[in-house]
Amino acid sequence: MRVTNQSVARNLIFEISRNYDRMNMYRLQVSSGKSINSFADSPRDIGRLKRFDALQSYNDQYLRNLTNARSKLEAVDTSLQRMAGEVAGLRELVQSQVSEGITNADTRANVANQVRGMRESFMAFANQQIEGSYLFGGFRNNRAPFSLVGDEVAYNGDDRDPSVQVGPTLELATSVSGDEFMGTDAAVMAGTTELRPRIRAGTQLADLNAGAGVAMGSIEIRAGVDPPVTVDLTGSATVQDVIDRINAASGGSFTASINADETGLQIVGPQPVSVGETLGGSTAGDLGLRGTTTGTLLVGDAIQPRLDASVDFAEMRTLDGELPLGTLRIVIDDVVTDVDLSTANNLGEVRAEIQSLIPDMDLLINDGSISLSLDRDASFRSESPPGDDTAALLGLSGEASPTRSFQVFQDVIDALEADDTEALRQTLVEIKDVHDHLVGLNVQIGGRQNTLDNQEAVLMEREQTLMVERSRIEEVDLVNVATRLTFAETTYQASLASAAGIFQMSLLDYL
Amino acid sequence: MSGIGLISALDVAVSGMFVSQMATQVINHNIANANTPGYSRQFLRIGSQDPLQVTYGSIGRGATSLGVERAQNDFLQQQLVDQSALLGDYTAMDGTLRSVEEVLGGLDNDRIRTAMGEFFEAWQGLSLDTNSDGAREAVVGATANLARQFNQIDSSLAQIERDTRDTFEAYVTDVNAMLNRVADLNGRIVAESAGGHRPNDLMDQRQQVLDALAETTRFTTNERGDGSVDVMIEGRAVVTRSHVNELRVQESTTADGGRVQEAVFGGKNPVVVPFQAGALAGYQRMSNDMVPGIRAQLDELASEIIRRVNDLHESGVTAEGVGVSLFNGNSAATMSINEAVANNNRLVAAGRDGTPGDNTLAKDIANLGATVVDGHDRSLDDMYFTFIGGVANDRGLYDSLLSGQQGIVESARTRLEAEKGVNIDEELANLVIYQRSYEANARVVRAVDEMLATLVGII
Repeated sequence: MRVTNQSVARNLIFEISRNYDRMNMYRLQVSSGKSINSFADSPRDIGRLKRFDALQSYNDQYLRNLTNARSKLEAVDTSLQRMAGEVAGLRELVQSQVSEGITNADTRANVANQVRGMRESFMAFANQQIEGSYLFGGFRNNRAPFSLVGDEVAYNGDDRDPSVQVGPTLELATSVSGDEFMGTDAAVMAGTTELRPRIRAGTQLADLNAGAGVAMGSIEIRAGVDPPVTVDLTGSATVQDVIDRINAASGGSFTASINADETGLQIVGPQPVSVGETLGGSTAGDLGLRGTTTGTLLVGDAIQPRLDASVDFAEMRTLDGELPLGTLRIVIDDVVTDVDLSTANNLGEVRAEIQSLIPDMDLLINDGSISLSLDRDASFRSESPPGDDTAALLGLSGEASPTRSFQVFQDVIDALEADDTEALRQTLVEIKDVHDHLVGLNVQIGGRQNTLDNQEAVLMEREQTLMVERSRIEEVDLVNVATRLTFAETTYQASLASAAGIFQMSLLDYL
Repeated sequence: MSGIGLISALDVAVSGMFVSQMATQVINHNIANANTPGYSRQFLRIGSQDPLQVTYGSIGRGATSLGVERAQNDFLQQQLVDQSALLGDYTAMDGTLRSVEEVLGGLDNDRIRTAMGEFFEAWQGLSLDTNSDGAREAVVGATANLARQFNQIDSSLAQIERDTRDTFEAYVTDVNAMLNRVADLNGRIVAESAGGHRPNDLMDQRQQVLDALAETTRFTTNERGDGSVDVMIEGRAVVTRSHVNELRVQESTTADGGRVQEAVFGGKNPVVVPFQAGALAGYQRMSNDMVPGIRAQLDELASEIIRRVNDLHESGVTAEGVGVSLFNGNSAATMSINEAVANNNRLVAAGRDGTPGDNTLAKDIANLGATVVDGHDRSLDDMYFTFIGGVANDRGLYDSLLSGQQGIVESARTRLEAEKGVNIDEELANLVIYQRSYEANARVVRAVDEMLATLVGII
């Protein structure tokens, strides 16, 4: 082929500029640290990068919300402790009054005033606010929730707990509403036995986790050093569907089944098993399977459905071998009522049996346990007749009295002013209940603080994962690119030098 | 001059010197034009003169010039036209899509997603503290900013759309100018050819115009016997000898209300030119399809944001009463914050029943970005990711097409250049040949001169 001067020049310019472009591209990559600097660099990754950006910003927001929730819970925690402290002080005062039996009217009036002072500081803690919002007012948090009207304390809040979103699917209440320790005249005794129905193959996934269901996505299962297996669970309806899908994907390297307690799932493998989420999901956690085992058995967390009135007792594992139930004995003000539960097959029937004998008593069904409540200003006791263990079986063995945080101060004042030592002594039971109740609430808040700590760890880990995934896509391999840059620079210099050489050569020099 | 003799031998030598001189002149012309764009190498076609027939055979009468010709290869030329047209097309697309990427903020300065993120964050902030005037004002600010970003981006995209339309029109004007120039050159070439010359340099000029035309649109040419060239764009004759069928720009409205810009030719029943390649095709595709398409997707996103946020917000209750709409408008251009809310942040509803601490609505609005609302199959974030992914794909496609096409055009040009370009070394070598040839002929003259002197001395 003929090579003409113009095409030599044009080719040179084309190649030199192409080398220059390449060199520039590597320079940009080295200086920005990214291999993707414009849409054109890797179009198919742009959508994913943008998604990572969004997920990261959501994650940051959840972390900020979490910090906010933590400061609120800490304030609640402190207030509850102080309030419990006031009640403890009241108990000491009453105890000393009861044991010393001072009858001097002036002294009693002084003590009564001291109690009024205690009530005031108790109320000050109950009216704590943070950043202009009252902690214990429920949703009505823009004015002081408690106010003293004469000797009566009025509650101006409501019974809803404001919550904060601290994860894609996790909301956490940041307070307890004031009516919780305002107290009612009702006495409530919380049950202690876990009664949630067992998990069956046909259990609907939507019912799991006390009805919260399972966010269906994919999970990643790793057996030993094998490459992780991603199992897509979308569209599964029942527990059996999940088990089938996992087993179908396992290739025999692990097996899923319902765990021995029938509270959740388990995965058994000849090698250690680890289960994690695919990016952005919460499916493994919702199935109770997220975790790692060093042995060969990964037992999932409890994820049973919510308890409800119609669940057959046969479905409650704690009642295995204990059916039919026996008799529940309820003692109210020394009046004994025996409730025969031998024909009851579910909690609805138990409630009906109780209410047929004690109309103002109710059986409350919580997530996983039951409570008894008596809508009357009276204490009650629940137990089993001798030789029967029904009360213990249902977790309903114990005493309850109304908890009236503010009223208890008034009761003490009234007893002091009436010089009624017996009534004063009676208040000690009530004071203990109030104290226990406040401590119980405090424990509940402590539990939420733990949840926050765990969630913070989850969010941090997620942030880390997102960063790693993101940098895997867009970050440059600096060694690689620096080497390429050096190459490109050398090539560029060489092309410049050879251009100079080519243009110097001419037949003219030899004629 | 007749018969055979020393004088006719002198004539033969002189014809050789003439031819050498002419060849040298052509070489000079080539060297002088070595860097002239579009220049085609010329060469002297040399032949022997008709011999003189005598009884004992024929005797040569020297060399003669058969004309100066120009190196050309029509096949490679057409290839270059076709590939240049694609290059022009991709250049137009790539340039416009770059502008679109810039308007959207590229990778690091994503204006829409940032504004969306800030909007949802403001609602999260309000959910943390529903009694805070600051948090309420932040929602107002973020709402106004989100609307403003959509307005600005849409207006920038509209500007790009207008620019592409203007560019299309400018290119049509350019094309008409070039076609007129071709027609004009056709006329001069035909006139000069009639005089028996080959107007090589005029033909080069015409080729140069056609080369420039190639980046604008794809066309074919048909050279007539008289030296003129007819030009056809997408099969329609636009230049016939010296006649030009000029293009005109016409705008029409499509069935769905979009504006379409086209180029037509012909008077009474104008025919639309279906541009397939070239800058005209690129700009037409951008202004008629791509930019409006991008804007339509942006409108869809904006209207979904407006609808979903308003649906929730209107279900809220504030201290001032039931919730009002947060946004006005129904597209990226018309999106705006409800003036009433902008003027009174107490109209921002965080809850559903007017209780001051009720933050349920704020949380729901904050989650609108990532969650799929009932009755829809995509979250707002998903819609945005699909949108931006589509733009990125187009951008990547034309970026790679363009860089590939630059190489293709370059190699087509190199091959054509190899046929018709000037190599100075080659010309110098030829110069040496004709220099020597001239010298040799001169020697013959001297030899004949000596022979004649001898002859004269005898007399």
